[in-house]
Amino acid sequence: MARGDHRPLFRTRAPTRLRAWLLTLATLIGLSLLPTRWLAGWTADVAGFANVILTPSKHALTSVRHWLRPPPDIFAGAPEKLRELELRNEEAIKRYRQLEIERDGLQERIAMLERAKRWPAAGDLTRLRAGTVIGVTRPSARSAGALQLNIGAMHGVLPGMVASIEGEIFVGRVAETVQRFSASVIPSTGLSGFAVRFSPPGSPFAQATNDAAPRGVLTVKDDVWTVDLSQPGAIAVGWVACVAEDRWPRSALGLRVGVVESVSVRDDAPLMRRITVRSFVDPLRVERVVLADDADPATVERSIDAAREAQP
Amino acid sequence: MKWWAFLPLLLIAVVLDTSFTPVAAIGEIVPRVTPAFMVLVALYAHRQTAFAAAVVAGIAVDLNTTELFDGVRPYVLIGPTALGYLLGTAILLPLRSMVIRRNPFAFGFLVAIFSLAVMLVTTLIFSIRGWYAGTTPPWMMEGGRALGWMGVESLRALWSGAIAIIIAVPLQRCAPVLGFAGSAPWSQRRS
Repeated sequence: MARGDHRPLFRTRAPTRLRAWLLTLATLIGLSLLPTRWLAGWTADVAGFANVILTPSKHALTSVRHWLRPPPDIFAGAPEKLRELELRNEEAIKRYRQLEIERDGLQERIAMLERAKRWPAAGDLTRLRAGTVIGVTRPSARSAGALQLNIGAMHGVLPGMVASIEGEIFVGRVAETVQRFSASVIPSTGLSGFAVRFSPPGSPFAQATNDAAPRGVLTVKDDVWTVDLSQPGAIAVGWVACVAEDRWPRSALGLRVGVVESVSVRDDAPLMRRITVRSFVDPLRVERVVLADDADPATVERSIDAAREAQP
Repeated sequence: MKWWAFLPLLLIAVVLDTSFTPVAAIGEIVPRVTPAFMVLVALYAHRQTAFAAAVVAGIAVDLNTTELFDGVRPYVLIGPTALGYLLGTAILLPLRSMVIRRNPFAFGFLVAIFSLAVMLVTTLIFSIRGWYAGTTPPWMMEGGRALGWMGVESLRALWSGAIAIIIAVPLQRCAPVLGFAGSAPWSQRRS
């Protein structure tokens, strides 16, 4: 007996090992006998997590299995008419599921547009378009990056439309050139020289767009948003910067841009305060946007007609 | 035993069981390769390691068996196979000194014994769970009886043993990968 490997399991080792085994056994028995309603849900999540790495290989092996031994045709002995009906039934189920997915997507878009329409700055003339981001150009030395949308001139998109998340958080503006079926959005972090107003977090729309609220022009310097303010008025870290640019569509007024990160006095101009602003969201990571403007219907019609005529 | 080698091989065995071994099915009798892998471990590993490996492998198998509660809510029953593998390993450990481990027929025989032990434990647990309201044992779902289900499972155990005879040689080749030197764990030659 050179080693203790063949000793009885629970006799000679430290009692902690015995306790560990008893605990394991008790846990396994307990889990095995738990009522099913206590297991439903969380155990499937655990199994789903554990199966993440196994699923691709399962698919591959199942394909190999079906190639080696094709699954039996359950309608092999059935009349031709029954087979045809079964195929049509399968097609109908597939189409039904497809329509369910489309319906969910449309309901989501409608809800998004309704929320944007409720934005206080949105008026009767405000046009809204929902778009999905289908491509992102990362910022480089030559450009500030761009978001590529799946809607374009044929859908009524015009240059200068304001892109936002559900009509509340500013994302960017549509670039000058709009394609027939796609449009580019210049992200907010790439825009410079637009006016913002500052208000405490949680302020109502009226306060955020009030003329009394401190107003300044947001500029980008070394990828940092700064506002140089000469006018008096309290501003503190954590305050919210909202769009106050009169040249943009009215529906953009009050859209939240970012949060004040620091307030300091400029070294070269002691009467001026330098405010740095951090964007609420990374605009290049947004998946869906709402575009808004106040263009009159005639202009939009002309744009759509032009896009239609340009169709080869 | 080298656990870093054991875990990937175990996962391969589990994936083979769920996706590939039905290729060798005879009607409902589908063989399994995970028991064969566990028999290999039980033949060469130390007792504690063999038991620990049985628990890990059993849980891995359990996690790959999803059932539905009320017909809509998926759940996984963690434990029956792990307990079955523990019993199978406990039966195998005294037997391993009595067989020629490299003999494919002895290997297949042990796999069948191991699978039968697993079947006994799982049937016992499913029978107990059958007393709960709303929980139906697997044989009830097919309108059968426990004895019939045990018969099918026994045939699966025998078919797994038969398949194990074929895969015994390649599996034995995996022993060095798992860190098994070839000498028996109870041998004095083992350092």
